[in-house]
Amino acid sequence: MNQERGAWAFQVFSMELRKLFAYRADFWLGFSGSVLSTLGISYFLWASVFEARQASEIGGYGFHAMMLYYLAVAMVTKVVQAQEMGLVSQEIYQGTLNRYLVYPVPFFAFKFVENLAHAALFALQLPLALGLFAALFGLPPDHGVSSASVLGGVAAAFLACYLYFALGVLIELLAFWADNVWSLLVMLRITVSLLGGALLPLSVFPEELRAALSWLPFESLLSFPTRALLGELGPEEWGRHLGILLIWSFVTSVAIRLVWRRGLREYAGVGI
Amino acid sequence: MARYLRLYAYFVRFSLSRAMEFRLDFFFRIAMDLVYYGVNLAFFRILFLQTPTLAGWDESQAMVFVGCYLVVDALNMTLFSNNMWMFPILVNRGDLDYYLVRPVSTFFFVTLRDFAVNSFVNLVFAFGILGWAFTRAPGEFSWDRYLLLAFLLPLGSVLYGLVQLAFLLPVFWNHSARGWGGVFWSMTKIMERPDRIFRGWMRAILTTILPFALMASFPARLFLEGFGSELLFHFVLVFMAFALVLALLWRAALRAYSSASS
Repeated sequence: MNQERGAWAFQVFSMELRKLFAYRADFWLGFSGSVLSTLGISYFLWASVFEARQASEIGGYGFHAMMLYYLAVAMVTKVVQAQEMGLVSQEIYQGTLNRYLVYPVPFFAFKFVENLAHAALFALQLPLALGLFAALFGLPPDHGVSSASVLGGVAAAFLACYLYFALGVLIELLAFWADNVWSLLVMLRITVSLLGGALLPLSVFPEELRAALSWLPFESLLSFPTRALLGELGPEEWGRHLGILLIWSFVTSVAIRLVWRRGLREYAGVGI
Repeated sequence: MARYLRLYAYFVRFSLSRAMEFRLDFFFRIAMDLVYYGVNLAFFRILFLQTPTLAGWDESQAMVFVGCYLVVDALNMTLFSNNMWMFPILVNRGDLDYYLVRPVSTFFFVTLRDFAVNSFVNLVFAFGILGWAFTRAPGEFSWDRYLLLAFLLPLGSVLYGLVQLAFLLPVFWNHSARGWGGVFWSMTKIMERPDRIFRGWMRAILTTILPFALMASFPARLFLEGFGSELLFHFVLVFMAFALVLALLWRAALRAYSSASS
């Protein structure tokens, strides 16, 4: 039985990878465009800020370390957000959820494995991008990057990937009642990019705001895996963020279960 | 011209009734744009905790720039965005056929058919933010600067739409717009940063070939720093050149169109 379970997951995973490779040019164009533009814009923005402020360090980062942070957070964001949005809600809107209901595999596990294929591909590129950065520009002095930190960061990014997926699914399940949930998913993405530390490192946020955010999931979604990757976290911070990730993942999973049960009662199976 | 205006009035009417059919989505979309505005304001507020100036602007001046790009974005979302979203799908499915056989400009029909009513509501909020930024910016601004801004911001928005279309046109040849479309979305962040932070060859590219740094920054600079004929000339010239290049690309794209197999 366990072997069978593993077999379907492997099949779904490899099928999704094959789909990704079928549109190789699109994939690489989208991926490199997004990472390079994030890095390029951050380079010019922070060069301007460092120059205006005449500072060698802002928010605990020198200019070189700041660029490494932006590269890492751009890559981690790709891993955490993985697949595009709307894949659960589309099944509901088009009535194609029917086939999953009769499949001998759990619907959410199926969708998560699909999502994982995207995340895995991005995760593979992460050490390569870091290596390329190190080869071209060198690593900043006093950096904490090591093979252990990269492994830890990738593991943290996969945990965050589950939580982001679960938050997204919880929103997408509103498709049982609402006409369109795409805009809610965009809201999640925009909010996470600011409060998770993708637009600005959280160390430049005001203290009061950081304190208010400390028990919310945003920091653990992006900033935690990024800083873990860069070797900036001690065991205490690791423990706190892991705890937050696990608690929020548990709460969100329970909420999904409840909403799913109620939603299925509403589901007519014909799409809209 | 009158025929096109009448046609556009129909587009708006149909879009309004469609939006009212999906009311919850209508309000969700308004909320989405408000979150986007909030995040952008917060971004610059937090950034200015770290620096007294950015690209020669203090925080209150930078907020005028933020208001400008929010208006450019809201105008684009209202007029073009939904149409651009649908455009590659029309090409892939061969639905562009129906537009090609109509006795009106295909370009007009494809780019303006869907008027986003929710974004039109958000345009009010975007103008509100710009108005609030005007009151905080240092100095007095004469009426001609407001007029110039009222002329340049819609132009910036049209330029935004043209650039987006240029990134989508490869769909006629390589049958998918996801890659280039993704690159476009990543590059829209450039419009949300003052043009003067970009230096050297990158600045040259971003104010000419890929004019993202032009769309909101130049209007904001002309408003805040007074009339500069060189800046205005640059803006108008790039706009016209881009429109011309896009017209040629559009013709080439239609020649390459082979209905559903695209």
